[in-house]
Amino acid sequence: MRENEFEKRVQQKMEDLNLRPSEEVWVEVERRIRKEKKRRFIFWWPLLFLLLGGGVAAGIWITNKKDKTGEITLNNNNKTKLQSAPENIIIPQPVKELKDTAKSERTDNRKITAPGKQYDKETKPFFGNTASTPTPVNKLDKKRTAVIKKQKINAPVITRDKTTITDNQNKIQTNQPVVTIIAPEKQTGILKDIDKADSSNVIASSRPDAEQKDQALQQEFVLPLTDSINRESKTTTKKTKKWDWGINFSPGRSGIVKGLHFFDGPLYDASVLQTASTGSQANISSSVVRSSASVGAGLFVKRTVSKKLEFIIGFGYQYLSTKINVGSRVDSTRSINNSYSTGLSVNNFYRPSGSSANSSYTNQYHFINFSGDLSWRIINGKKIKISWENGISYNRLLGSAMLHYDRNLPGYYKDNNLLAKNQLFISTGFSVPVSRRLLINPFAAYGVTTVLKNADSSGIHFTNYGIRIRYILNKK
Amino acid sequence: MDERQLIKDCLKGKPEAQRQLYEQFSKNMLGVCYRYTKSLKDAEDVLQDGFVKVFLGIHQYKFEGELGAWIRRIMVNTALNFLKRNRKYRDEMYFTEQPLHPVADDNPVISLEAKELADLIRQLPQGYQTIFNLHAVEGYTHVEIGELLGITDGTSRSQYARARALLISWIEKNSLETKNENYAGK
Repeated sequence: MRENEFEKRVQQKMEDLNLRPSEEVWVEVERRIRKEKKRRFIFWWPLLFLLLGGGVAAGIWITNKKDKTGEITLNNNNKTKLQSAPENIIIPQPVKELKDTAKSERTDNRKITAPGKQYDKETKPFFGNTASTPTPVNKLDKKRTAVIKKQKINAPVITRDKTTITDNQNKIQTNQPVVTIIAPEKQTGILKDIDKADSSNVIASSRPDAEQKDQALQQEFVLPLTDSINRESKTTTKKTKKWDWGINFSPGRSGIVKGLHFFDGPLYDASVLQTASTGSQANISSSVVRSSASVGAGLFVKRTVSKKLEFIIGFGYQYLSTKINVGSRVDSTRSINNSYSTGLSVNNFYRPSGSSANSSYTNQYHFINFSGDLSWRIINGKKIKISWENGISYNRLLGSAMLHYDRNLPGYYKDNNLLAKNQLFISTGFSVPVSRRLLINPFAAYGVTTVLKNADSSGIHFTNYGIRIRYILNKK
Repeated sequence: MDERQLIKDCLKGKPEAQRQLYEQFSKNMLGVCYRYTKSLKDAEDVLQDGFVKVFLGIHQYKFEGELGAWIRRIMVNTALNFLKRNRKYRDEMYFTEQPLHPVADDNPVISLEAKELADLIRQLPQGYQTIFNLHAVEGYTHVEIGELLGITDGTSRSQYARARALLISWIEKNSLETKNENYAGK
């Protein structure tokens, strides 16, 4: 009792101890609070960028789709209609001011065709049969020849340039869109003589004198050219369906690592929460955090941007887990006060001791996620197709059950408030189609944001690796 | 402003409420930090860290118990973490058995001012200082101190006994000197 009297006196004295801190203390406190709030706010930016990027990309795709199947408006307000295949190209009527001698030729030239084959709506038009005053093909000058320079035919290209239409006597130049057809190399040989005088990217008409040339053209140029265009027409029609959607399922493993070590590299031990201890240590050390099962499931939409490039956006649920050895549970109320959990009262905790230290606990993390991936076809063989896939995902923590080590306890306690609610993952992997509907995608993901809110815990990140299985639902 | 309302405003992040809370408790809390450290600058560093934790973790305050007591606990823990982190303190924080100082009266009257007593406490070896503060002032049991510092409760007891005896001897010496000064002054 006598001892307590001294302590009471000391306590009373110390209660009266008031010292005025310098003004700098408050300034610094305020600055650090604002900085921390700003840091938390920054977590939202990636999501914002993702949404904005997705919106812009969607807008571009929609616009592109419209352009390919609908109308294209040119600068001079003339409209060119394309119907998936280059059959109906309106070459505008630019040459009213041309000389009379050229007029008739111009009118004819609106419909440019190769000789010897009838290309009109009733049969199989080559292109350009929807001029305002369509002229039957059989009325055209059959001796006219389309002269096409360049090497390959992929698809007719519309460019803006001066149109040069050439026949034997007249050379007409208009400031109108030009339809340029790039012909295969072997098909250009017989046309070289006619072609010499022209610059590249022009369509020229000529009148070969000999009927034999017409026949040669028909056999060697026109038919293959037409077939080629038809093939392109089919391809273009096929390409218009570029959206796929389906479900995905991704079993795997997840862990928490310090720094950039990935799989089961130097994992952090659960004592990361606690700063270095002092003096004589308790003979209890924290457990290493081990990787454990993970699973994800959700919906995805896949957009084919080009032959090699695809964009995939997804939405779903993600479960991650890790394991630690915790020992036996102690049902006792304790106040936790460390640099991370301040004034936290817990009703139970886990204390490692002896053999019971081996009993493991599974830390669980439940997320909802939004992801965006770019898939780049790196091997495009007949049998093997492999794409390299890189992506980013935003994960929002829905729930968790995670134990933290407190050296002062000493043991493990639960404080779900320590976890950062927003997580940003980057991922890489390879996508391999095993059938028209099924895609297998081994992947590895790394959480670029830290697992815990507190800045002192920087360097502790989630990892996740496994196999993502995508099943496309809208393909027959 | 009502304390509950003050906390709610702090939860909303209102700067004026935060400032008010700081003004209300900072003086007393600096006294707490002062007892655990060896310099005023270090005490202010601890105070700063502690208040950052208070404002960022105020959602953890469940309105159970006094707010002042909750903030004080945070300050004490922040001070302990500061001692553990800071090499200057960590290296002196050993718990060696030193001889027990014999004292004439183990329950002396303390005629010192609060700051003078605090200055005496701060002159104790680091380990003694920490254990004395935790037990005599904060009221922690030796078992709790053992868990906090990672030592046995027996070590805490013996260290405290030595710290207490040493402090009492200094208080007695100080009282004697004061008496002599008064006598000489007469």
